[in-house]
Amino acid sequence: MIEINNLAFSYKKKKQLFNHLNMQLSEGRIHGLLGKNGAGKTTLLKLISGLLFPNDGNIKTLGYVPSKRKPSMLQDIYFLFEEFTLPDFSIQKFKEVYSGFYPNFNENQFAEYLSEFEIHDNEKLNSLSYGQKKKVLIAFGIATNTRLLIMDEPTNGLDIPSKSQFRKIMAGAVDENKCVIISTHQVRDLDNLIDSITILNQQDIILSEPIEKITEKLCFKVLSHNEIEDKILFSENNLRGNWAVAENYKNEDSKLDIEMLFNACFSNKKRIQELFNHNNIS
Amino acid sequence: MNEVFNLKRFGLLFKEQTSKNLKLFLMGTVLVFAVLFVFSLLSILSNYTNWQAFNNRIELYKIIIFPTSCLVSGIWFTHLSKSTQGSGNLMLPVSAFERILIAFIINIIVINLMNLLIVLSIEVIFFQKIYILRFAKYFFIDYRFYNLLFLLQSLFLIGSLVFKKVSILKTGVTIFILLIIFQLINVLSINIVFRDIPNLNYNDVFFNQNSNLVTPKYYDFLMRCISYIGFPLIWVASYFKLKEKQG
Amino acid sequence: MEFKEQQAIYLQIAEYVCEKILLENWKPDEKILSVRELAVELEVNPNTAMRAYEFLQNREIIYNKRGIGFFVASDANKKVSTFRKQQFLESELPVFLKNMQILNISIQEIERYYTKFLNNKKS
Repeated sequence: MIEINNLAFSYKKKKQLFNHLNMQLSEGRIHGLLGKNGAGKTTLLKLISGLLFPNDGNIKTLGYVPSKRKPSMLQDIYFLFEEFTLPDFSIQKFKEVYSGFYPNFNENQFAEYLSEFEIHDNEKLNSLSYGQKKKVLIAFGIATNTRLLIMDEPTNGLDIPSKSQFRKIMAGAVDENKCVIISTHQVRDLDNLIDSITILNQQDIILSEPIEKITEKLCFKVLSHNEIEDKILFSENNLRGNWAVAENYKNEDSKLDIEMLFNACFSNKKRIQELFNHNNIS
Repeated sequence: MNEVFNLKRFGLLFKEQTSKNLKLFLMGTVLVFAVLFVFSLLSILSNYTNWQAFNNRIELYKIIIFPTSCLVSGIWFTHLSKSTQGSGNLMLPVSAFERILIAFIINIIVINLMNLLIVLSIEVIFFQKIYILRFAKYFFIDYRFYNLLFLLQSLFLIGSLVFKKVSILKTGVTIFILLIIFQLINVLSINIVFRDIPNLNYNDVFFNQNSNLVTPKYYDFLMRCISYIGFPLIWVASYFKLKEKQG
Repeated sequence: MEFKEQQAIYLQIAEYVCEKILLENWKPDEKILSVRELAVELEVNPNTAMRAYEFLQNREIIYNKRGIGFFVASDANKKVSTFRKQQFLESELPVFLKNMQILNISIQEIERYYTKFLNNKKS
């Protein structure tokens, strides 16, 4: 669904943001795009959707070259920005004006999501708080039923009950034809929602794998005494005990901990990459 | 699907653009009309005859209409420039051609038809007997009026595509600087080329208004051509700029 | 539903379903929540919910009628017990035994507690 080959991009000539970046994202999944501040998550999303143009390499989004910005591609992408400005419309009017652009827009879904978020559609957009506006856009974005849904920090600004509502809505919104990309810092909000993880580092991607694959190769657990030391990729002592990410040589089923994985990727990048690349080939 | 022009998409974009900017458009229209109305009323009541002269009225129309229309166009086009708003806007499934066409229709055609309508109605209300046709003609035939206005409005379009933030102000300043440079060239050319002719105003050269000046016949034609080509060129350039605009 | 820290989510979801079956909230040959409904209820990815259902289907605790949905198997109760027992023996008992060893508790001591527990339950 999304293919990136050998991508190079920089805002300024001297400072290269991406170099030789390769990535593939498939449909039917909720992809979590993670990375440190300034790693270029938003930039990558903008490249995928055709808002920025690569300096080198190529991108294919839904079979299109995104920088051509063809309307038939754009009507199959919805991009929820972290920052946005909305026109001075009521929600009703917003729907009237914008839904027509998206051929698969579903009014019932939109109404259902709004009521899940406890927002009335006769309210004025500009009288809503940032979080509420965001919820309107989330509801609208999912209801467009575009094949690609991109969300940049969707849970930012949402209050605690809204985060749960968001997860419920998202869980019901994906199907095998849809591809959702969520970029986020707040991994705890989306822990069980994401089923494919992409970790972005300076210039390239450390890891981009479905969760089943990650838990097949890696094990997340409390360390016992008889653990083989060199299988451990990252460990951390906290109230829960001595937690570690280790190679899954015993084939254990464990629960992926995104934060631990993230830290493992940065403290032991080489091993992680070897582990996943090696097993891809064999 | 036609990726360049599709009537349904065009209609949707037209609706989107007009609903977003309806207030702005109405405010501009009301402002122009109100100022001209009040001024005309006062000049009639106080018997201020200067205002009755054709040439003076044209100047006043310019003074009111030019900045207002430029401002309306400028604000209208900001959705193409603001980085947060602009990115979202660029994701709308419409082609660059459709965007440019809408901008052209509304900002050049609709706004100026409205301007003409206001001018004519002021003429009908206050100066029934005089020169209605001449005003209409002046408005749309004389390139020093409409073409200059179109040119300025178009500059605001390209300004919004070039500048990411506060595009109106930056465009305004740029136009101002360009005018100064232009006038400097004028003054210089007067001092160098037409040194022998006395009492030459620098405007006279560009607009070819001085009878003392013997310019070749093609001069007027040349100036016309330049001003005719100017604003379509800006729109073509804007089209390509928009296609390549990054969010 | 609160998820535990260590066990894979799909297994926890499978356990949640087993719980429903044991408590007879979901009865034999009854249609159960669709994958999507379950995912929404538990706020998890539908693929994970699907994996849990596949897991249970492989153990014949639930079955799939094509185009209709998932149903509780008629002998699900028995199968859940077998599955639970196996799980207990595989994952919970080793921890238990290890603690016995660490704390120096003999099997006789445990037996005493167990008899007491059974008697308490009877009375």
